[in-house]
Amino acid sequence: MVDLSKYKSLFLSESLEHLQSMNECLLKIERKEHDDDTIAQAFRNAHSIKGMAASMGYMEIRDLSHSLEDLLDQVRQKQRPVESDMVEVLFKAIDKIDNMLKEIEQDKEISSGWQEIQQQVLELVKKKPTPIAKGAAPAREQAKAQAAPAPEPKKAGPEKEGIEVKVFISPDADAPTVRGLILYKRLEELGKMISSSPSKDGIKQGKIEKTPEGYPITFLLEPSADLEAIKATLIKISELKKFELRKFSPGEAPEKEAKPAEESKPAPAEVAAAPLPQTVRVKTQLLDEFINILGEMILIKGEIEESWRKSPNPALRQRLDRLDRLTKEFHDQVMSARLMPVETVLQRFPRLVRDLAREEGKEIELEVKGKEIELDRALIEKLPDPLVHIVRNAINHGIEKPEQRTQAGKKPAGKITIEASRQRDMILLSISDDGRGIDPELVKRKAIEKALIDPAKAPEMTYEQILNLVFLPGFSTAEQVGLTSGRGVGMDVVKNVIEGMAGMVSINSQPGKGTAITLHLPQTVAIVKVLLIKLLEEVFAIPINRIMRSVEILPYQLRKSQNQDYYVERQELIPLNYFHKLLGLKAPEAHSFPVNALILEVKKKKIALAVDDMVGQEDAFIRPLGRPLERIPGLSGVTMLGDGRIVFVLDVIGLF
Amino acid sequence: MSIRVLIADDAMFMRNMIKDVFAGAEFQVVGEAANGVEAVEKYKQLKPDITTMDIVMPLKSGIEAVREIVKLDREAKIVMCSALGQESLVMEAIEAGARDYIVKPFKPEKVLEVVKKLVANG
Repeated sequence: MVDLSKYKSLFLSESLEHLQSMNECLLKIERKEHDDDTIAQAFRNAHSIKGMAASMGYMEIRDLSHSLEDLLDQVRQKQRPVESDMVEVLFKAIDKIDNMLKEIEQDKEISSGWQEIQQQVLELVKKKPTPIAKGAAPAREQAKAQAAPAPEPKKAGPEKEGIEVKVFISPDADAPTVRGLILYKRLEELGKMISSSPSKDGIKQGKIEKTPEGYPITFLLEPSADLEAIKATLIKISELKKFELRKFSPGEAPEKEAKPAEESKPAPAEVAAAPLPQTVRVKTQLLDEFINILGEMILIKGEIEESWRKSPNPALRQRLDRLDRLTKEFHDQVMSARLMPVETVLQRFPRLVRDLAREEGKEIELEVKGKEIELDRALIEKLPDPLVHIVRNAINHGIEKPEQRTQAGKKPAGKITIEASRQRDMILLSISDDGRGIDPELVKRKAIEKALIDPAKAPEMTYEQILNLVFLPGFSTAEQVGLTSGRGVGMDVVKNVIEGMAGMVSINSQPGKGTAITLHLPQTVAIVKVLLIKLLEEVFAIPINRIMRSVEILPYQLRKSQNQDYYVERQELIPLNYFHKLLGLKAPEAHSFPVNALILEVKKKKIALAVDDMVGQEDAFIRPLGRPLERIPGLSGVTMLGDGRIVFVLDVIGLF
Repeated sequence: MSIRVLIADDAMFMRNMIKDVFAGAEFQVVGEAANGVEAVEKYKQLKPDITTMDIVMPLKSGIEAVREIVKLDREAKIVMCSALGQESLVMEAIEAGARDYIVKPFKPEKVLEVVKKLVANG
């Protein structure tokens, strides 16, 4: 017996993919945006799940998906129109299958309830289906009808000799009709077929009687056929119980059976689906392992670089350069192997939005853009919770009910857009809605109530500052705790998760017009290009994607106003501070020109930070700090330089 | 000389299962295809001794793939992998030139019997 356990995870993952695809198809069908391809796709999904479940021995899933396949087949064959109760039942069934898969994954007993759903599906199947177009019989039926009037073989044909081949297909053959047809075809290749009993059409229609010895068919071939060749062929045909050969004498030899004229008519091709990428599945652990090994390689390369600097050797240099290129290339390849399209997280949202919108009695259209944009899988894995939270907020608090929207002069259906895009080497994921926006007064009131801000300062706050209050721990504007959002998990959690991945969250809202939340994420993790800076003989690393640019400030570019230095750049005043102060180090008393400074963007404002020196750029393999150092604000990790020096990687944004 | 096998099935799950059936020394799985188009391409490229062909596949059905392969190579030995209740489709495939069939869920012994006999049948 085959050991099925090793197929289990593949079975689960492929079945889930098929369910996801069915979900998408059903959503299209429900919105009446489907075409024949959509139906064919859903049918194929149900079919595939059935086949896999049967092979694994999960009969509950096999039976339930079989019923789905039957129902979808009727739709596919245009025997029934798409009805809304049908879509509802289909959704229910795929949710149930999803549930059963989860139970299988957790090695739990498969829970009951699936039979009721199967029953509902089968009732629909049984309901006399009404064809859509009048008189348009399904294609296959039509073909059969045309092929059917094959004249019955005439009795008592011309007196001829021939060969009679009597075969018995074994009683346990999987599909005797198919076996019969194969026999017919093989024998036909060996000699001219005079007739057969049952006839070819009879065989194809399953008119082979079952006897204890198996399924008998008798073929009559013209005498020119080679008896030995027939024997040799039959021996090597599977599922044959026995066969008998004899030359037959003239007598009741019938006329050659009339063949249906349209035999070679091509069957309709299966409908095309999106091309599948050529992929293999790799354990994610393996990818992580690659990264670790690569990290070590980069560190060692750095060490060799360092010793080269001490005693330069041209031959070594060449090889080092080559090694450098190879590790970079390897890095890129490994990193790209870790990339996954954001689509993998976004797939579930159409269904989620549909369900939540129904719960809330709202109409919501979801648009997903840029789903092909790729992110490191480590990030992808952490995205679902924050995204679900943001989308739920948009549905529960953002989008208004249809009546309210109409009153406000908007379309009754609200819109949520999830868009992924690339900006420099950051990936932006924005979730925007066209709902009521964030009311600054409401936010302020709540913040004061929860003692998050000083009531005296509230009136001076800008709208932007007010918006950012929603990221404070313990803040929730939900007037009433909703079913799904406002359950204690707030935007502060979202912010923590995203910043934990070296990302940022920003919020934008216009009262009455809508809200947009944007997640700024690095595309890859672990290996980051850093700028090395020097502060008081100490070297620090700053991820380059945090830095807009570096500048050398000359005296004429400097202006002082109310004890604050400004760097003047094209009439723009950028506040200039010493980096040292952020870290609590002693800053120089006076500027020594040119002043080396970095321009950063912090909370949408430009800031110039003066450093003592810039040492260079490096591809840093960043290691997490671990306890208790990870608690220090502004430090995001450590990296080792070529000479073995450990350098802190600064999270500059976190320093503000 | 081992028998060179091409496996066409859109489910990796199925491909792996079939691959394991052919794990013995007599066989060598030389290629896999995840849809009908790929099946035809890989057939051209690899000229396998045996091709197992799923019926319901994206881009191009197994039946259409059989038709194209047989057009290229009249001697092609294609075994259809079907599910229960697909007899009419399998027959369509046989008419198109497939040489034999197996029914999922299949028993490894049965697959091997069908394939070995088919190869022997020259």
